[in-house]
Amino acid sequence: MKLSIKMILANAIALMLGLAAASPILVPNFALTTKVQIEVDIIYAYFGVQEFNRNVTGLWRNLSDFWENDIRLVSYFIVLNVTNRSDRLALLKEFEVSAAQEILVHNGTEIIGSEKLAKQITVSPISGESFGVAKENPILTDLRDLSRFYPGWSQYWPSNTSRLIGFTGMVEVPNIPYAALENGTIYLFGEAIGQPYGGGSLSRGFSLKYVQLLVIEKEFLYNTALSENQLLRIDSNGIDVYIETRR
Amino acid sequence: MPSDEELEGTTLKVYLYVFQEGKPVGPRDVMRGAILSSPSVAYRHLQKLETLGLLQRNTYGEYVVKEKASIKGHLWIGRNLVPRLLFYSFFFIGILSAEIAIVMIRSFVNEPLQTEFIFLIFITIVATGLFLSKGIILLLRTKTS
Repeated sequence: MKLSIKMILANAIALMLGLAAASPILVPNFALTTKVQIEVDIIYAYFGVQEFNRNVTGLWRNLSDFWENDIRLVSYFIVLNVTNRSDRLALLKEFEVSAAQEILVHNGTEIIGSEKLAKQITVSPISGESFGVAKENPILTDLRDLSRFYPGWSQYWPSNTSRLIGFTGMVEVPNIPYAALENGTIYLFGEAIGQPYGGGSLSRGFSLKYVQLLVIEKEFLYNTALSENQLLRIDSNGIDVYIETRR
Repeated sequence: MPSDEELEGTTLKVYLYVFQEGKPVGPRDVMRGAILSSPSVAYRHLQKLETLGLLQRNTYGEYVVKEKASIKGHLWIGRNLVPRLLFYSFFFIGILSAEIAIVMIRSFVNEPLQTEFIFLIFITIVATGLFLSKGIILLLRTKTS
């Protein structure tokens, strides 16, 4: 039996029908080839040891007690400057900040950050834009998943625009990371994850800095954003931060 | 319309020969073309096909196709009899091509594949393999006929 043109045509039609049947799952995947470029910069970090008197139930620490004297309550305020460097509208979904004595970022081939950690760990290859973050003696890690609707906050990042994202909170810091804080030199890490509006693959932007903190008794400050006559304002949504000039 | 049981083996072989020749044939032609042992064997099957209403005799005593037989699980493409399973396999090859394209796109942009999707690909591969292998076996069987 020789293969006739009619038979080839019939098989081609069957093939096309198969492709058409699978198109509902194929077509949305084409959108994954589009990406946005996200740029992150850590512009401000404040750490302050909170001291409470014994009348404040729950927060007061008895420093003469063995089980309570090795931790300090430290409040923090860290600000990321997040920029959408692409020419399309972006949806920003996740933000993360970390502070630690040592931080290292690697993508399997390139290593950025702590030389001490670089000597200690073995990194395995990571494909694409993903990267791994290794920390030693962490002071804090704060992750914000804003992939769903968050009242009063907009995920939408127009092309080539920047917004300041603030992280506030309070953490218990053990002795060793606190010593790094007192010493005034720590690593700061910030990350933002987003994707193009209307579909596309996730993109990451990050910033890793080894910073010298300004130590003011039990307060520690890193500031590249504000001059003396400026102040930071936190939006009522608790996420957006604005710089204002004092009146 | 003959039943599928009646149109199989040598009878099917004879019918396909007459159909593909597209012109009146005698028992000797059929014996040579369908590689049968004798003209009488060819004649017996030609008569059977005539009784089934698929062939008819012309004024010269030669046989021509009267009606295109419907063979279970097969389609007529021109003068060729092709197993339906072969078309089903091409349909699944189409789906598999789309799934492979998705795997390539997602690996290119470093997006993970869901377990359900991997299972779906597995099912498609199995379905394609089964339809294609069975289709080719039937095609070869028809070709031999």
